[in-house]
Amino acid sequence: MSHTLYAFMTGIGFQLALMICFCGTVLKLLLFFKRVARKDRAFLTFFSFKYAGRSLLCHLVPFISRTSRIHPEMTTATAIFHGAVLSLPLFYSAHGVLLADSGLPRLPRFPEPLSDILALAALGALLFFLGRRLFLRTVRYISTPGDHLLLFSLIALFASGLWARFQMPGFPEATLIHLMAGNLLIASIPFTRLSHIFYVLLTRGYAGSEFGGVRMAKDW
Amino acid sequence: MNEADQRIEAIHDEGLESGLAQFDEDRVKKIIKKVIEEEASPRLDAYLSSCVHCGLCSDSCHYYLSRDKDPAYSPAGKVKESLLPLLRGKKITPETLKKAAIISYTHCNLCRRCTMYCPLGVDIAYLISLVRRICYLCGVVPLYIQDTANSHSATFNQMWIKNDEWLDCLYWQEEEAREELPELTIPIEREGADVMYSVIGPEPKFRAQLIYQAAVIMEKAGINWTFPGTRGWDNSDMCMYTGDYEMMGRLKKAHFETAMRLKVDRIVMGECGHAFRSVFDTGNRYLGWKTPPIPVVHAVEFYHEILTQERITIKKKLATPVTFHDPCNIVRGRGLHEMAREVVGICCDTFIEMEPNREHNYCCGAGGGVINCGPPFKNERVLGNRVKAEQLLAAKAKGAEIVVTPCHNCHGGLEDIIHHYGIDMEIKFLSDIIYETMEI
Ligand code: SF4
Ligand code: SF4
Repeated sequence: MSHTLYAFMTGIGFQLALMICFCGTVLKLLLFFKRVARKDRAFLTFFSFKYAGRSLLCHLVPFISRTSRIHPEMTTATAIFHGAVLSLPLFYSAHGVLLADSGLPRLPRFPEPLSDILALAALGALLFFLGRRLFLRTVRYISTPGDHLLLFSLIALFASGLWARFQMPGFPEATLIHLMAGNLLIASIPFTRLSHIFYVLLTRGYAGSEFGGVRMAKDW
Repeated sequence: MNEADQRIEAIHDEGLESGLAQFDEDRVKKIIKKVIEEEASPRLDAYLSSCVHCGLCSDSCHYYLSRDKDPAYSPAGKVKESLLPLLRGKKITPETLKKAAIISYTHCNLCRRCTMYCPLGVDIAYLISLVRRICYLCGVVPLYIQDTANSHSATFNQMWIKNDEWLDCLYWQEEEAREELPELTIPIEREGADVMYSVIGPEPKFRAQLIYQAAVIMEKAGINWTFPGTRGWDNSDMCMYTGDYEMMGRLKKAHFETAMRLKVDRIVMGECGHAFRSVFDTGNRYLGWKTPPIPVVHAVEFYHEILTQERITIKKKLATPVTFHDPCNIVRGRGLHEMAREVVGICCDTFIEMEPNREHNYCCGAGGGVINCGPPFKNERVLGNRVKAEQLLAAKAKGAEIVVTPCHNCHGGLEDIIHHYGIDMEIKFLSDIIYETMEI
């Protein structure tokens, strides 16, 4: 049973998750631009790749923007988490083997200790986010059940991944949890807060375009 | 009930109450549907879907900081309490709408500071403006600002000024100024002038000396300029802030058309921030112009130009130390902070920076139409900007005695703050210090 599930999760399940993610993202973006053309032509008129790029860069690179400088702990945690969550799926060796098995070209692989440290640090960052959600009055006030579910899924993803990696007792189940959480998270990208992965290009990009191109001001 | 909610419940405003007396849930829902489906940018969906509820925008907002970090005053908290119940609530009650109106009209200055602090670039001011638009269409608008918007509709100026009163004020200021400069004229309806000078309604109503000063500066700088003698002279716009975009469009059209009728090369606007936002950024877009159809220059740019070109000369710099308050709408709205500092530097001996400054400066608390909502909301406005008082006090401790700011709203906001927190500082426009120090 668990073997079949494993095969499904690494095979069709994984492909399905990727398909849902891809099609959902394309659909969301198409809808966005269709509505932009109908209701907000200013978006197209004022969007500037130069200023959007400048703004994205200043907000993505840690400690450039003032907001990232006044919250150093959050900036560090965010940078570590995003670094790990974007790189490990591709460059962690076991993922590399699975990806190569599904016919993808061989990608470079992180040395094991680097992957381990990154994953552990990301888990720490996630626990830090959880602490903020639970104990910081302002963050608690705006948090929704969906935010907690998302955070819980990410914690499950990293914790089960590490569990499986170190082959601790019960690791086959941990592997299944890891695969399931991973696939669900990938599939949910276009339909949850994870959509900030692609929307940020438009939202931060547009803010940068307006500030830089129209208002001649910095926005970081 | 938290403190912010208690404060909201305690508010009694005739405009809100009379609108709510007509409350009909079906109608309100239809209005919301119309605004969201037909008017709102898809950015709305992008903002709401991608806001990760991280709270990083909170520390940008002066209301939040001044209210001891009460989450109800954080930018994302205000969206949660005003916009989301209208969009996602199954049932909408008069209380929901009243709360949305009070938060959107009086707990947010639309100052856009938070957009700089949200890593995802969520435009909270846009979201709050949508709430205002809905409230306006439901007829639930604070009395004082609606009265101002009514004045715009009836007279095309903010202060119920009749056209003969406008002309009368110009003649009066011309007469006054002639005692100082006997050759001076305040040109009215001079076709083909280089510059049309436009001001906001409160100038002829309460601050006529600014017209006098502007005339002296224009005269000495040798500018071929004119005031319009018809409607279109007032560049202000409270309709932009109530959510009456149709009227905002008509106001801006009148303003631009007046400049075109007079065949001027450009419009120079007096020292006002919100009017500049309306003419340069918001109203022109509503009319379909990417940029205004005729060049528009704010007073800061204009003064910078005539001072650096030495069209006027400074006789003796002001010795009293000054600080500078950056008005949101011309700094985050136009990047005029360096020019303004250069003008101050040309006219004053000692300049002391407030911290934070430039694009990061805190709003005066009056902007976004908040001061125009009148006395029922004054307390909230002043207490919600303690950080500005702290900024001023810190500048004062370094020696600043005058705060210069080229914006009418900022003057109103800072006056209330200075008065409430007992800060011994004087507030001046750039034209005040230029007029005081220039060679006449
Ligand atoms: S007052 Fe300014 S900083 Fe505060 S929520 Fe409104 S736009 Fe953002
Ligand atoms: S608006 Fe931006 S900074 Fe504020 S909670 Fe949402 S994502 Fe975070």
